[in-house]
Amino acid sequence: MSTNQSRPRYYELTRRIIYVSIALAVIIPYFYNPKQDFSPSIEVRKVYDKVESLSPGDHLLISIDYDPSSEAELYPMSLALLRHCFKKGVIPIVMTPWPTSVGIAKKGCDEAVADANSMFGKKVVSGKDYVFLGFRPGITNLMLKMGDNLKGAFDKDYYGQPTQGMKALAGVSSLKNVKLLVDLAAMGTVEWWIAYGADKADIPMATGTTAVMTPDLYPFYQSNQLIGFLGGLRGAADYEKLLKIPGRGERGMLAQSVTHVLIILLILGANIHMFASQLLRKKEALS
Amino acid sequence: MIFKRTIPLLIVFGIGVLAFVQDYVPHPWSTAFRDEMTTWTMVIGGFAMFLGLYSLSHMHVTRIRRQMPGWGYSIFVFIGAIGMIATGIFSDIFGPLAAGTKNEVDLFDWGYDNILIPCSATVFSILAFYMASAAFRTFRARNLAAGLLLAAAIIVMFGRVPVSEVVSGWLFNDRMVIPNLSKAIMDYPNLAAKRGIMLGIALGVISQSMRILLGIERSYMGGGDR
Amino acid sequence: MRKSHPVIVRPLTTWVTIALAAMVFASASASPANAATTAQAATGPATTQPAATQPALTASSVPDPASFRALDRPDDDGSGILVVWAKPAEQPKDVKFVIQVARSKEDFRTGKFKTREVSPSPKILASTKPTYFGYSEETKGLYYTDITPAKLFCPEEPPPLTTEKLKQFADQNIITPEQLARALPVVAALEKEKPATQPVAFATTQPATAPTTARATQPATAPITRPATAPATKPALSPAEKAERKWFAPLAAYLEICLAEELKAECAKVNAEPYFFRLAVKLGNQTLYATRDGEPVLVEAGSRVNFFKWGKLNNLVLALIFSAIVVTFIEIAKRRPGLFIRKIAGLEAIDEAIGRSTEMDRPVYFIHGSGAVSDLSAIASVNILSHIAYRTAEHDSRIHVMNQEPIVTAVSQEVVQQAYTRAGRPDAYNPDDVSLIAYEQFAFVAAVSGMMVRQQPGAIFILGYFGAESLLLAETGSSTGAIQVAGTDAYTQLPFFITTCDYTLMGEELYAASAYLSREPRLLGGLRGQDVGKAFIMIALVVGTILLTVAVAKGWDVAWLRGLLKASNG
Repeated sequence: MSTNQSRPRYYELTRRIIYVSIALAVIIPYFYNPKQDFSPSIEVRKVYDKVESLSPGDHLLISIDYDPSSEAELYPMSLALLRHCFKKGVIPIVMTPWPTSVGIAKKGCDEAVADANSMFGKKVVSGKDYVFLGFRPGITNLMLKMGDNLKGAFDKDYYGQPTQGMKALAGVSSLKNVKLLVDLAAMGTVEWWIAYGADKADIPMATGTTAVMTPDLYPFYQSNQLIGFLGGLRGAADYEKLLKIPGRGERGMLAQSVTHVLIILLILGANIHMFASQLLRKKEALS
Repeated sequence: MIFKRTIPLLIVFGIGVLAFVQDYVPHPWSTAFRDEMTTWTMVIGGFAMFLGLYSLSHMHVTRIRRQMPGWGYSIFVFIGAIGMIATGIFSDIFGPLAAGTKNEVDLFDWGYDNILIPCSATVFSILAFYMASAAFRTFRARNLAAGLLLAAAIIVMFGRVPVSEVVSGWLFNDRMVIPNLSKAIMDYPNLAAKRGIMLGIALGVISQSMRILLGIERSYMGGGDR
Repeated sequence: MRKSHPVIVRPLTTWVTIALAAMVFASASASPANAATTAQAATGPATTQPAATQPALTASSVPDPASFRALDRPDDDGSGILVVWAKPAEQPKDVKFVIQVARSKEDFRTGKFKTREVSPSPKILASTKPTYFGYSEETKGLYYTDITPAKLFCPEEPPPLTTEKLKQFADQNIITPEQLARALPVVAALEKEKPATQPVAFATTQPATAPTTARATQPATAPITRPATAPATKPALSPAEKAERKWFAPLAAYLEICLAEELKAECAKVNAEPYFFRLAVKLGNQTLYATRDGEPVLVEAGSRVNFFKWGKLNNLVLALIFSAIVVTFIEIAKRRPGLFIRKIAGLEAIDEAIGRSTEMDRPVYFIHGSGAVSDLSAIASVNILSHIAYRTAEHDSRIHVMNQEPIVTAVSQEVVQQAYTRAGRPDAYNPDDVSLIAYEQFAFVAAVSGMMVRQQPGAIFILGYFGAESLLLAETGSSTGAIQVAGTDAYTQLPFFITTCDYTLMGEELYAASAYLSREPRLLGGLRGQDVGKAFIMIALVVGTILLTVAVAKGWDVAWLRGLLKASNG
């Protein structure tokens, strides 16, 4: 399919035209920020409703399983989720089993804490209103350990404060005491969290993933192993819409619309060209 | 041979069976065994980093020494690695390289936020271009199956963006027709196909695991013979 | 141009039928009726509490005393007791069930008991836990709750480290007398700095009607802010004091672990004791007990360690059956070699790709996925690497193996070296050709893409578990004109490989590679056993679907059928 012998001569030129078109389709819409009207999907709505149903003081575990490369799609999700928690008075417990995700997780916590002050007038304090546990190695082993003894898995938070006696973790001895587990993943951790985290501890779980991974979530969603999910930038935009706090998710929707339409037009154009070429060849063969 | 093959195989079989049995036994000894294995896995995984570091360093030092084509890039490997390691060690909040308490950002964080994040995001965003060119090349309605694939792809792609609701409202007087069609394709045919592939993979995993436990599959030990 | 479609070819009519059915079904589902699903969805659990404006509790609000019982929680590590009672005839709004737990009957009289309050909801019906209570109709009329005695009678956290505790540790030889002497002043100073904390208490006294599940008081700790700002309460320390505290920090961490272990042991002892239970209903200030002969009903139970998770028996049986099938076919294959295996185009193309690469005098690239050596996709890839390296050595060509994981690198080096030795070319092996490129996903892809564009390989094998880097690698490889064979069990990446590579191994085709390439009877037998397992699943799917459909139509209760193939959480 992709060998040199079979590639048409205009291939290189076409590729460059496509790349420039895509670049313009992504960049130009960012100079506009029209208000967009779209309906959040039922899957995102379920996640929102679940968080909305939590009471102040309930705990929500957020596992940051994405690295800076997936920041564009998943960072808006984590920000929206943290803002929702601070708005409701729910205590988010943020952790990551990946060393490259620590910075992005910390950045999200810091930004959400600042937003809690400016948007809701709340002074959010680490160790009391939220806890950022940082990174521990082990991935699935870490999940198992958190299911038995969360404070044993993380004896200190990211800032070096002991988790034993921490007010934010009062009443939380293991995953079983968490009201909702949310996995924000660009890596294949969703199934691991379902098997070793949510299922074992018998707690509800939701997830936010990149758009490429979203089709894989449907089996788990249909079998109620996931209560809902946020898929790609659209999922982040849906959540921001429900939260009524616009962010990067909503901002990216215009660019996403333009790019998708452009790709569809390119595909249709290529097909029209293919059919036209076939017709011409047939005509030449007949004549 | 006994140390290279027999003993490793016995260890694999023994620990594998114990790990399998552990899942069915709720006794505290079982949990303690699992915790111990978990701890050892984490420790061994940590030491594996040194192996990787040695391999990486050796390869790039050789390339620089022999001035092989592209050896300049190997210098950047060391600049980046040493730079981030140094700032990570010396740049804790109270260290000599810490930024002022005014904005509470240290040099390691600065490197992470301003170098690693943009570089990773840049490489990831190349995907947008590659996806467009791959889609342009591949989605041709050469036969019925390819045509159906093309139609499904267009519906799903279009249904995921807000503009589909606008178009749907114009065409059908109902904003949700195209998004619902997109969702239906994801909910039914996509789900069925995914489940089929997942089941096949799961069975493949079980079968391969059996072969490894029984010592039939031995390539992971590094030897070439089976 | 060779079609790079490794999927088994089916008759066109079958595909047409399937595709048309899918499209019809999809459009039927996209009816306006489905638009209603995007409307605000109610997510709260249904409750059936009758509307009432503060009614008084009556006898019919109290569960039947005869139904009240306590039993050891099955399939656990001896930490749980189940308490069960029947649904009362009336359940006023906001009523709660109160379970009182004491170590002895006398403790109820003296008020030394703990309380657990439970609100009625469908989630606490016994029918939601068939692994504990079975599938009978009776379970739909029973409530249950799970009591872990240690959570009621033990502190949540270990006690703080005090000078007394230090001396105890010294007596137990956990620390040496020298360590004790040096640590005592540090701990004493820390104790003075902290606010006074309540000592840990076991079985605190509770008034008879206090509905509380109080735990031992927490040591008061100041809210944690960013550590850039020093806590205001700490006095200035001398350099000697700072040095002593720095010395003590790792010892303190170790002793805290010892304290946690002591608490764990204490909790295990507490869980192992027998307990007495009473049941009451509470509404506002009213409390009514379930009584017999004028006295609250008392039941006793203790938790026992179980040795087997009976809820997972079906899982174990299926695992053993499947394993037996695989082993049986391995034995059959030993006696009857030459089992049929269909063509896998990607694996057939390996020799062609390496030959082409040799003719063009270009290297062969083998790109590992991001899986660790414990991942089966990495093991399967290593199997194929062994074969490719052997063929490459035979052709006197050069192979570059790119790895993302250190241990996989070490295994790959060993495998390639062995392959070159088997081919009679140990001198041709270059260890630098098998190296770790980068651990991070996009650093890896950037490096490999650069190498591809510079070195222009003739054949590229991309095998293993991949994430988003799959399309980047495959598209860059495609632009160099190399022949590409990809294989992954990451089904999210399969579409990208299929569109950009010449051949793709999908999912289990990757796992079958070792059997396919070696044609060893035992491996082929394992594959055949796997296929039989797949057939069993397909039959179970069809039969189960038919049974459930009939059951729904007839109104039968077939929860047991779903439970048959579902393993409990364990």
